[in-house]
Amino acid sequence: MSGPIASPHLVSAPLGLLMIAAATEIGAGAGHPGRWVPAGLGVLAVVAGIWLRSAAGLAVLTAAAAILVVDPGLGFVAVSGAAASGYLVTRHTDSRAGIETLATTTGFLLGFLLAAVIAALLPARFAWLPLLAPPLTVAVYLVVVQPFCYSSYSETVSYPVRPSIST
Amino acid sequence: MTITPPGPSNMSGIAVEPRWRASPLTLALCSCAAVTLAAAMIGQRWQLVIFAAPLIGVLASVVRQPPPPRVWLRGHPDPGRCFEGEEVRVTVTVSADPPGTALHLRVDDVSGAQVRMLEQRPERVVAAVSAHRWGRYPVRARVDVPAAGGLMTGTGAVDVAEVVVFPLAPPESTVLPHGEMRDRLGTHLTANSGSGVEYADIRPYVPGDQLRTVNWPVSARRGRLHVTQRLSERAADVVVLVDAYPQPPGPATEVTERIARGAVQVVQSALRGGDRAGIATLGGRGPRWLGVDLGRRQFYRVVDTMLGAAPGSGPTTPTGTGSGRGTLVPRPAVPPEAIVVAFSTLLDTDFALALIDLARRGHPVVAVDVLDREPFDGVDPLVGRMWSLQRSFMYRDMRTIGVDVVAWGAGQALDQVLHVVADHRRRTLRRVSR
Repeated sequence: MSGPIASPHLVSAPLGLLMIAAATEIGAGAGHPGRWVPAGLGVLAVVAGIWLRSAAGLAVLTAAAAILVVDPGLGFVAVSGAAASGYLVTRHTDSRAGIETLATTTGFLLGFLLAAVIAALLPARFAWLPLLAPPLTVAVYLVVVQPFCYSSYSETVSYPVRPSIST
Repeated sequence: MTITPPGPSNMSGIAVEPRWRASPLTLALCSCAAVTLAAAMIGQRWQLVIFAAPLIGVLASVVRQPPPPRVWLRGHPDPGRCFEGEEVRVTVTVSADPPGTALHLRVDDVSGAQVRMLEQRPERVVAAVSAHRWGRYPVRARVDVPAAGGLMTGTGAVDVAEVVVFPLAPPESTVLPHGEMRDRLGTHLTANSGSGVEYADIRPYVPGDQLRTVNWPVSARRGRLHVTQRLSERAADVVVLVDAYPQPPGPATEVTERIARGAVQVVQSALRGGDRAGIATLGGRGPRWLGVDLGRRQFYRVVDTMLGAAPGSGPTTPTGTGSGRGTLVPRPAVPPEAIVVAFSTLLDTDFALALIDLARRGHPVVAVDVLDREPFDGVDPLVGRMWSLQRSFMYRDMRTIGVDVVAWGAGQALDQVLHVVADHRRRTLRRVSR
């Protein structure tokens, strides 16, 4: 599926632009002088993503690179991350998702964002925190990715017993 | 494997059990999160962890997403029937529970057949299937099912319908070998006099003869009443016997294509002549048969049975189909006095024994040998000659037992080949009756 056809796709491009704008602090007055380069690249990727789905991931990576360059504030990063997730989900959803699905996805998205923001706001008192954070991050990532690995999802799905007619 | 699952009545068909894998959305989220987190750790930037957190949150939501939808595929018509070179339209529809799931349906290529898409929508595909060779062609549909809020995608493939392609046979009528025929009006002349139209003889009038049979010109010349005798016309029962034993690879397998063509031609011409026709196949998973019957519908039933596509070919059903065990033709398959025309490569001893058994039961049996060359490629010409010599001995032995064997080559017309047997048998009968 490539092409702006269904309704979620119409939401995806504005979300992508919001992600780029927040990552490069555009609209926040004076900022980093080099912010226009990743901003331009990001907008290009978002525009390409309207037709080509694989360009959406590239747009998100551009936003991450922009954060590396621009070093924006906490609020901008949070908005950019939320917009990036929404952008990817809406760009990849082919048609109307159920309300249940939408609520679950949004809830998890905001919950994880909130946890990360709170963790960032806590004053880093402990000298050993930088030592602990990388393994913890990797562990969280692995735990989250695990359900998608080989065939573990199929085992959680149970089908009803089929009544047989023919032998 | 047709099931009717619980739920609304339109959700019937074949249940699909998809193979689940991570969707493109999941892959994009995973790779973006991985790259961002790696950059955060290497570059010591806490902002990137916050940027990646919602991405990981969306991934983690898979544990609370609704269960995957259940999907049913349905093909119509099942089976679709057509003749060689014709097109049959197969409509494949998909239904899902819960409804409204974004499904993507497509029809695979059918090996040996041509598939032309007439209509392609996500939930309904109409394909025109045609084939140049008879046989059964399963139509396989594939459906993509999204699940878990788009994080998972499943692909399921199901044979939704079957296209049965009937062999085309030349329209020429085949001559049947004569035998004793049952007392049923038909189109075959018999040696007995009766109430036909074909002239037989003139004899003096005896009391009891119908007045309308009196031949007035002859009576006037001879001065006595004479009547015209006519030959009676009877209908025959024809049973086509098809060799379905596995054949050795090479030429023997190639010529089996003509078995179906010949069988169809014999049945077609018999039914057109008002005869009753039936079919029995030997080999494979035991004998299967369809009892003799009249009419156009019987033609399609016979071809269905031959291609093994007849629904419910279990033990004997009211229409006279059946299957059994053993290597001989079951008695219910061949009514008394029925003419048996067998198509075979005559390589299998069991088939030859079945023919001999039929001849012993009193049926006129004609075996059409479709193997017109030696069943091995690239051997010494001497071996080929010895093979053909051996075959001619076998023909003679079978004829002695009462089974007429004719060779039917690739370029020959079946009606001409069978004509030879019919003449031969007629001469033999005449000799016997004298």
